Amino acid sequence: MSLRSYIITRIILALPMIFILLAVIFFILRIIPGDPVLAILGGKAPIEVIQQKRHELGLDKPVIVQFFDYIRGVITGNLGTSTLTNRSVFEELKDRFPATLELTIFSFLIVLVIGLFWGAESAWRKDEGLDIVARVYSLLLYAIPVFWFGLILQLIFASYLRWLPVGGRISAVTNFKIVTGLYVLDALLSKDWRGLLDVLRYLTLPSITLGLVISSVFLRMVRNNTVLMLSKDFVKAARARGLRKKIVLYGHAVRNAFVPIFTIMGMEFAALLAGAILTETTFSWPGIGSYLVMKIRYRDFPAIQGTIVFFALFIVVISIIIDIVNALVDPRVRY
Amino acid sequence: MSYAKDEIVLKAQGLKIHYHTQKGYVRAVDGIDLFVRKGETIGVVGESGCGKSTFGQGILKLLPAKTKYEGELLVGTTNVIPLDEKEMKKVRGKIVGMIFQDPMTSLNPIVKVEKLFHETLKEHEPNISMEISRERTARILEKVGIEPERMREYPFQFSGGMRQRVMIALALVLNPDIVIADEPTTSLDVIVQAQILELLDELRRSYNTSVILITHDLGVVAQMADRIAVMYAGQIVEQNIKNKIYYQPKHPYTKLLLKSIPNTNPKDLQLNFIPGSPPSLLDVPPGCRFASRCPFKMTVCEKEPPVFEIDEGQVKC
Amino acid sequence: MVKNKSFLSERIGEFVRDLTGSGTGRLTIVGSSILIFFIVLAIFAPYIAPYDPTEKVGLSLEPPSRQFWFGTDNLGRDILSRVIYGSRIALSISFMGVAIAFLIGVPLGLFSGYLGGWVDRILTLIMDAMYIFPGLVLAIAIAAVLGPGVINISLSIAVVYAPTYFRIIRNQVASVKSELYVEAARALGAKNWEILLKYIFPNVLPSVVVVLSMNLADALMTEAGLSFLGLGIAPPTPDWGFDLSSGQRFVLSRAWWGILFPGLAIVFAALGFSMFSEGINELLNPTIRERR
Repeated sequence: MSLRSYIITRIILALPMIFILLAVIFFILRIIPGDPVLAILGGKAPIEVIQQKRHELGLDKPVIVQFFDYIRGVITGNLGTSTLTNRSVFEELKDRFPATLELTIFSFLIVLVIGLFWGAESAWRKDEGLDIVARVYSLLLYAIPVFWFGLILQLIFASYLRWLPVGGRISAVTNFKIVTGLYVLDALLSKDWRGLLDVLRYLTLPSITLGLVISSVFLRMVRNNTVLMLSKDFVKAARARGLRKKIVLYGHAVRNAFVPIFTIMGMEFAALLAGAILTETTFSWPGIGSYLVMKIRYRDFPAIQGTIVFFALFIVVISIIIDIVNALVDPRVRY
Repeated sequence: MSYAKDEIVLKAQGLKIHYHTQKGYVRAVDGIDLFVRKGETIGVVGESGCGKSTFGQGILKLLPAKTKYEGELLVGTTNVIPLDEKEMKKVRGKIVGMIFQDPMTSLNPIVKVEKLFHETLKEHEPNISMEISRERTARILEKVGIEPERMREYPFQFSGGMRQRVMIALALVLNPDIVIADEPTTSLDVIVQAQILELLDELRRSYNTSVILITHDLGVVAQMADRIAVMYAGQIVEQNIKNKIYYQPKHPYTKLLLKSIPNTNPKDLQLNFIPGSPPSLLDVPPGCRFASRCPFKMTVCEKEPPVFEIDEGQVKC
Repeated sequence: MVKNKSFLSERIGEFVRDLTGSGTGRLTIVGSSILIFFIVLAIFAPYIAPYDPTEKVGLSLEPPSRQFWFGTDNLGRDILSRVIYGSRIALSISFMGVAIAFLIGVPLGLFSGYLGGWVDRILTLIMDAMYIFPGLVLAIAIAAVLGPGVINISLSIAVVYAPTYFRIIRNQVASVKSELYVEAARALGAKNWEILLKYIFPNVLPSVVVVLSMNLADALMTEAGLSFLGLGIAPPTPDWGFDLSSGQRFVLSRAWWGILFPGLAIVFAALGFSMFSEGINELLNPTIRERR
């Protein structure tokens, strides 16, 4: 199978998954006890007001009709209207998504660099100093809540040392043209170096916080799988051909170690997204995570549901990308 | 490196290879004297666990980091025992090639065949271009009977026999002086086994390469070896030219080993085997190591046996 | 079944040996000591804590001193007492969350795996969908609708982890149910529920125990995260995550004690849980480690 037909098949296969995810979200939010209308209005609202609100939210229709309204909405990009701002939830999410994307991309890069190189080198020198430090690091960081880690870094670098800002995404003074919404990219495109520096200063703490915490599990996976691969015959055979360590380790052992890692990479990314919600809240980062938390405070249920649907779609897209990269690394998947 | 006829390309003298384990050192190879001439095939036979594979991998020092090497091991004219990893890399692949037992696991299944060749060639000839490396890959693949176009495929798309051909080509692409073949046919089915051995023999002749054929299968060495070394418990108990080993074995172990070959003679109903098992190489008893299983055991056997030169060969009994 | 019993006792023997000898064993001991420490703290909080955790006992934001070892928060409450009492919420919600997840996931997994067919397929699809979804997002959604409260938060956490149990149990049951002894029991006329409870359940239990211990640390962290986001139990009940979010407001005033101590409590408890589970994991199931 060519790579292209593999990609197409993979996307088609994702459609039922999306449908099930949407259904699960819908029914979980409906089935569980608790009435969104009462939660919005409080218990003492007069019955007419409650009826009115129900009608507004479409909650007076039969559940199955509500469900299909909701599915139709998702397909047409209509995620409902915020009861707080009266704006389209989709539009609001679109405004905030680049911030989350930027944070997750930079955090993911940190995860990748730490996990890949440290994991591989630890595996190569199993049970030696570097490896023992790696094991302690991953056990320790696994137990550190991402928001607390963020708070500690804020205390040290923003409060005491005053090197970096405590939160936010950009200073009021910078003004480069916003095209993509990814500020680092936008600053680069406008060749605004001071703006770039400013944006990077804001990005540093959140992405390091999230990246280091998520790297703990990834580092461990890379290390353990590479240790396993280094014991394989093809590694010995590669050494027998006189290949240097770099090729034996990265070109053979690590490459193959990633095959099982790809199957759980989606979970890792989910963890990254969950961490992003907490990190955004810690650093007042204006992404969809802090959006969700804010909407929960105001009990804006259409926005809450819309955001969760958005997260679900994002996860599915990421899992497709992961599978495609997997097919590039491991051609066996395609046959 | 160039050699005169009959020149010795590999020579082990008092070679000892001891593994480090938690229980102590395993004396997997414990004093081996052996030489290999240019262009000949020497068969190293013995039961599993006798140290023959350790010997094979020890020549390239591929064993775990804490392994102890002692004695002298000349590859060409250099003693490789004191060499470090960096210097060993120049020996591996370039002077000594290696073929492993299981072609299903010894080729990385997800790295394209041409890349396996290219990375190998580039390691030893850093300036080589992709085109030249493809050309050379095509030539050697043709020699081992694989269509050159298949170099664009991945090893997982090849059958076991085909993979072993790729492995052989990979071991020969740098035209090494010696090829170590560690049980090259054990995991293949019988017809493929014969084909692979034939191929190996043919390539040995056309490249004038020496082959160290490590196997437990006396049938395999019978087909291909010029000389045979019989190993038992980390030592060579007997070595001689093939016919002398087969028709006039001297050491009791060799005799019993030959008797235990299953044959198709209908009158021979019983499957012969050697009772008992070899001693633990962690804690080797003094004296002859085969004594506990030897039907001809005498009191002298409690002392370390000397090596006799008989009939153009050596026997340690 | 006799054979099975001796196998189990063998395992326990190995367990004890490993516990006293190897590095893994030490890990388990350290982990369980930390756990016991927090359990004691939670149970005897009124006797250990120097002050009432919800009363103003000092000035606002007093740094650590002899009087207030961990300092005071912005409302003048003793942080040490709040950290000690906070272990009650943390432990009870993580234990309850995991227990509810177990009670939902295990029976569903047993039936789904045993019955097979379309029920199994639909349940598996739903559980898979929940499994790939970021756990915290799911918990946030449910907690948002349910509102605050110990039971509600436990439920939100349970929904996140139930699919894990479901998947493990279902897959194991599907492979165990064709084993000979199960076939034999069926041939002897055992009823379905008898087969499930007597023959299949005991066999799939060990792998669940491993996951159970691993989930405790995750549940603890999820609880802390939820309450940090303001979705936990209602104030003024002491809660580590919530106390951190109120401490955050004073980062720039350098009131480090309001952030350091509740956070350290979370880290130690989570470390205790994960060391304990790591140990249990390797003792019961040496192959799992390779996969993670």
